[in-house]
Amino acid sequence: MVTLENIYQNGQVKKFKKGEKLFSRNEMVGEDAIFFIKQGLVKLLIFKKDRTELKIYLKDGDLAGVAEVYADSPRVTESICDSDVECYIWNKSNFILTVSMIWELSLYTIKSLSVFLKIINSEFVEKENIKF
Amino acid sequence: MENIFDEHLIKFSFEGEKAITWDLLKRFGKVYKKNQIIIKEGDASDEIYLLVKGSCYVAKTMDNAYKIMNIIHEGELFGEMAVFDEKMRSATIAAREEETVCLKFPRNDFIEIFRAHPRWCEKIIREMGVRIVKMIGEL
Repeated sequence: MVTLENIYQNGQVKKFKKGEKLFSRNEMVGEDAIFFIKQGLVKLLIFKKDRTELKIYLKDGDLAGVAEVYADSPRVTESICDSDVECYIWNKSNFILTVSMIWELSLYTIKSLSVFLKIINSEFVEKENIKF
Repeated sequence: MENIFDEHLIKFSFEGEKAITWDLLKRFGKVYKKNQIIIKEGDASDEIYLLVKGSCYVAKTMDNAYKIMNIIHEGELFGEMAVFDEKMRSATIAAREEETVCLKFPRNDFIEIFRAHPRWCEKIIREMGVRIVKMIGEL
């Protein structure tokens, strides 16, 4: 049976120490493009215009770095290991090709982006009460 | 049989939004009035929605009132966590505009769309990625 774990194992395994960065804000997407977090905790930092930071935590099973790959954009977050972390790392073309062929991976990627998008969306909303 | 992967879905799975025709809307389209509840927090259901026209509130019940947590925009999916067997709805979704139109897919049809045409999934992923990057730039 094909599982996501099996699919991700086609990536290169890499270990990071607490405090190391997976990638930095404004850097171009390099060979290490997509990070599937096998084990550990990764903190994504978003620097807002009001000089505050939005922190998003990724854990085992989460994906980091997808949005910039598909948007052809430099990194928009600072990605720092909040514990020792083990990742499967994919390069851009391999990941895009595999997503286009394996529907389970594409669904999982959508789920991952959807969760992220909801967090970002909520930053723009006035949290007021409403009656339906 | 309820979940037939019919010709409209096949066309949609290959062409995405271009294939949102009258036939597809007739079969899967739902029109909601302003403030009409589409999904209710706590309910068990497994349909996935694609917002075609208008926008929606995402609200959570707090102290016997609805508090707006988020807004969903045209082209966005919602309820998609149902694909991953999370059947209990985690928030209430309600129409924000007078004529809000969604395609409401039963879970199995939605999965068939993905199976039939992963290229369409890639397009969704690309649009989500672009939106995330753009929104972070605006924060």
